[in-house]
Amino acid sequence: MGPRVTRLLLRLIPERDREAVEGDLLEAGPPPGVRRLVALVGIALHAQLEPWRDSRTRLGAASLWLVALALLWSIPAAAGAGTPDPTVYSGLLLAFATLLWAHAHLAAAVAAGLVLGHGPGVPSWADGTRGHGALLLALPAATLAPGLLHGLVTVAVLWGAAWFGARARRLPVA
Amino acid sequence: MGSGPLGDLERLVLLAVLRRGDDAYAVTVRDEIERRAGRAVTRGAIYVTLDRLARKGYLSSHMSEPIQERGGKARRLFRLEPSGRTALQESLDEITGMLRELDTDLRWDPA
Repeated sequence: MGPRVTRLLLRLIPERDREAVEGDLLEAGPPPGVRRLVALVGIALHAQLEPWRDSRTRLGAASLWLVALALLWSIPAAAGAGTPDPTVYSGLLLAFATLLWAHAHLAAAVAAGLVLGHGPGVPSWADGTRGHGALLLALPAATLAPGLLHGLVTVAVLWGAAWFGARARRLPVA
Repeated sequence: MGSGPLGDLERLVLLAVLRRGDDAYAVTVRDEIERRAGRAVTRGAIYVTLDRLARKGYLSSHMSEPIQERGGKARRLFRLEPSGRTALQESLDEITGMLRELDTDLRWDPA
């Protein structure tokens, strides 16, 4: 079993179980190789699907996803409806506002990612659903951006913001 | 996740943990269910069920010392908590209540 693949699959299992799962497979699992890899894939799949068994978690995760999708669509739409008013913004601020307006899909990706990663309604044990949501938003995010390159950058920004939001959520409040 | 009534596999896992005592971890729990209940359960189902029962407060867990034969990896050992014992009792009472005074040839002999 490739150590890299094993490490990757173990990351899909809750941290509290990783060491035990590794040890259990060594102790009583199939012999090293494809069969052990398949066993690990099965364990990882169960771990990823577990949060979706809970109806309240399903509702929370779906709500976050819908809000994020709405942001992805509405922010560029709102930005397209007008341009920054030079009487309100001036100098560097105007330049920044114009830049932001011109790349509203990136601002939308940041907002959507932060909502997905940091939004309420999903318990910490079910944080995996936030990642699932970010994966599912990749296609809408890519297609709402103009062009392939912008699409890829938008997806990267979305995932980065979701990761950052989830990480910030886990940090203790000082 | 709300506690709610125990599921079928949850009941079996709690009983297996109870049977194994200080030696209850995923491997022995799965063996116990296969051997005694005759049911094949996937490893993944055992891990998520044990973890869910721990989240509900029915089980507590701690890591053992690292074990050489397991590549230096520890075991996650589980123990039945009083709330788990109560939930198990209620679940068994449900079955007993349904079977009591039932005119059937179904076998039911908890003794």
